Amino acid sequence: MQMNKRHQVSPYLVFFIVYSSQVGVGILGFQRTIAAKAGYDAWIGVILAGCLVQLFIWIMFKLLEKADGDIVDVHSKVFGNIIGNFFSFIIMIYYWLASLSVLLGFIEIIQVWMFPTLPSWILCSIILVLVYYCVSGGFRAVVGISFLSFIYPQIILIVLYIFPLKAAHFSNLLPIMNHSFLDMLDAVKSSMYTLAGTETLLMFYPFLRDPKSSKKFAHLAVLFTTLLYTLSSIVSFTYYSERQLKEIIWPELTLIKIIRLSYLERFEYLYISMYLIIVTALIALLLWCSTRGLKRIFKKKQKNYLIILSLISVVISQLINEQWKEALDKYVTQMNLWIFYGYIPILLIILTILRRRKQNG
Amino acid sequence: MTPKAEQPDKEAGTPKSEDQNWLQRLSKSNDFVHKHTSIKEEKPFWLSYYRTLISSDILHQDVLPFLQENLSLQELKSIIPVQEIIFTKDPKEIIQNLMRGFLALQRHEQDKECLLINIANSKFRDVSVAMMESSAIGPQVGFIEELDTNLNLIRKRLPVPELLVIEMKVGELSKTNVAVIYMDGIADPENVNTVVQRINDVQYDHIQDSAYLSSMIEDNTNSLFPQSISTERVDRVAAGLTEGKIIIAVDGSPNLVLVPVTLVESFIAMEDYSYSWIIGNFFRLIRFGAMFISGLASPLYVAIMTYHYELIPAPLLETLVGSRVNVPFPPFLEALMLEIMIEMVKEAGIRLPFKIGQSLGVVGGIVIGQAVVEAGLTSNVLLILVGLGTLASYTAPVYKFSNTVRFFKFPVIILSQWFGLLGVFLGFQFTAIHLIRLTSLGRPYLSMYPIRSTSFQDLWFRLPFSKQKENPTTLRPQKKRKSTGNRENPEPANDFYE
Repeated sequence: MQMNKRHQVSPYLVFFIVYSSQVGVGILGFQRTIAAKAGYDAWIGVILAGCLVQLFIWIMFKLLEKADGDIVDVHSKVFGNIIGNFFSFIIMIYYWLASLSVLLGFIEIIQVWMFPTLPSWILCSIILVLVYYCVSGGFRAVVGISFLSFIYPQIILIVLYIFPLKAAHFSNLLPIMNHSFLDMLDAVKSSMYTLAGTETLLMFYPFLRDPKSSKKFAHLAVLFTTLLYTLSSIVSFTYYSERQLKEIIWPELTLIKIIRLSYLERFEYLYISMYLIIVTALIALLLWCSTRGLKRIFKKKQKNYLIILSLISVVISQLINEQWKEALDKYVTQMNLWIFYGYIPILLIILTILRRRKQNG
Repeated sequence: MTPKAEQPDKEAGTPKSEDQNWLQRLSKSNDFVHKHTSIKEEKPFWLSYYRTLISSDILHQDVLPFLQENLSLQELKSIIPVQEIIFTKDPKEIIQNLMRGFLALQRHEQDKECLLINIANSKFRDVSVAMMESSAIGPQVGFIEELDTNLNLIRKRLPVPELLVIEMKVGELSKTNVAVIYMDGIADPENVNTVVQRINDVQYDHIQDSAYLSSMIEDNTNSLFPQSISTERVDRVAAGLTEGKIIIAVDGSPNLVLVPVTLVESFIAMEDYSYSWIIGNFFRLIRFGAMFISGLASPLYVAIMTYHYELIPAPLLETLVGSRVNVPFPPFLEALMLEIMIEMVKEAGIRLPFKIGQSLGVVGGIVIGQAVVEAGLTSNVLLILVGLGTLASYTAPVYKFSNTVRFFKFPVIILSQWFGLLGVFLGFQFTAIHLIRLTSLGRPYLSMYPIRSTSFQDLWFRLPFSKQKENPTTLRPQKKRKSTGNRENPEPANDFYE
């Protein structure tokens, strides 16, 4: 599919898109879940998961290069229009559920840390209004906000690790590799939720001006986020004792509390507010992918899908309870693993075989 | 003086349209003069002009002396020492030029041939110092209300034939002269076409100022941010032209419009180039900071004092809370009240005649400043913050932009009352998205995205002149590189000059 060059983005911007697709609310609390079984060795699991994502990026680029289009094109080429669109539809639903999971996670953090009495639907609708404004500006605006979300908060947030590192016990990390392989595998699995997001490439691939040279930026972005997560987990591991780590839901936020400047305390308020920028960038990207896919499947205006999905999200945010929320996160993680690490490689193999057959016959 | 001899004209040829009977049509106005030069029939010249449009000096010195002899119009054309003389029969052209201050000369009243002589009175105020965009050092001259003088000022600074002017007339009634100025070979022809196209599409009765036109041709007319820079500084216009910008000059307006522009250009003062590049950058940095202070000082006060006073360490909090112990209002009302008060002082300051302005200083400074705190209506700290914010907003070198910044804080104050710090960042994020979506002539308005290497040569930073090598890529200039070949700092001849 040929895109208008005006709507395409430069290769280096892929770094920021992939980065912002990966960083969400997960980083605030993943330290607890990965350390559940693998303990202080879990940071190795993060690195392994990062390698897995690198492989996945390679697979996606191969797949999309062959089809020269997005996942909807791939599906309709492999399975024909009707079955192909059905599979695409499932993936679009995944994107939407992922955005919902991030949104609910962020709302929960705000309600726990800042405004306990604020109703979910107000927060949800105000964030979605922002996202709507962003997505309606087209892919260019979505990329722009990803770019700003990297420039503004992240540079500041990395600097903040200096403060907890002053109280770090690096001996916590020793001895390295004293957990079983299965425990480590569990850490990898738990890291996948935090590192998820690169699958948005399946939708925005046609928007890359030069896919060949974009590749290295995508890999670089994954490398950056992997290192960021590793750093974050190491900081948490050296700061907390193993038992503390089991009790604290958002280790990253609790870390921030120790920052004390002569004019500023309780940094977590600022941190959470700033996180709005990162979260809106991620939700905008996911909803853009989802609605663009739906537009391509059903050939209606993207605006309608965006409004419908946003309204459903607002209703769900108000009605959902704790159990369902956990179930949602679990399903999103499961779907992510099965669809993108199980199904997509198989799709690549099928497509390759089909191509071979066509060439031979 | 008004001729009665109009009946023969009507008999001679019944006018097909109103235009043809221009004499009758124009005579309706009392300041229209139509008279005979002499009593004698042999030397009959009929003069018609608008008394209020012409310069009687030119009429008496340069035109009337030549009308003593019996010459034909063609002969007169070659001897009258006035630059613009047209010989025509077209009634439409005659009316048009009479309205511009021309004199119409006829042998007989019924004659269709007519000599049009430009004796327009073009007296305007003299070229003077730029009032709104003053600077401590550097050129001081500013544009005035007359288009030709403004073009003259520009041409003096850029005496090259590449400087091209496209003239147009806009406005159904005002017929305002509009000039689009650009450098051929540097400016993107696509941009020039877009500007000309958009100006041609403008339909409005009157254009009083370049701001009318610029807001009519902007990409997004609902934006707070001006997508063009209007300036009265000649140096800013000339510098913009050499980079590939397009200038729109409107007759009757001392402000010229630059397009396309980016957000950061509103922070660039031409004075930056008069200092050493380090000092210039320092001031530019201060202006960036000032914008954040202006937009965020009072919203942050409201957010912190309403929701997050834990953010402030205890010793500092004591000062903050102590200052507003006696204040009966919530921080939101307190801030809103003071902000509106300051806006009123500023608004009144602009409208007041110059002589009364002094007393306003007393009212603003003493009554609002000191008494409001003593009466316990606001806190000292807020007064400082609001004053600082207002001061900071005036550092923007482009006046329109400082208004944007001052307006910006009101919605953010409301958001911060609603959501605290989260509200401040909501406002921030909304602005960011808006800026990303915004374009100026279809070129990105936010100079941060997509990022360009040229924006670090002379936009965010100003490098020394020898390092400014390229024209900004966002303008898509035809000439990519500046003709920079400046001398670098001299290398020491020997090791450490020894």
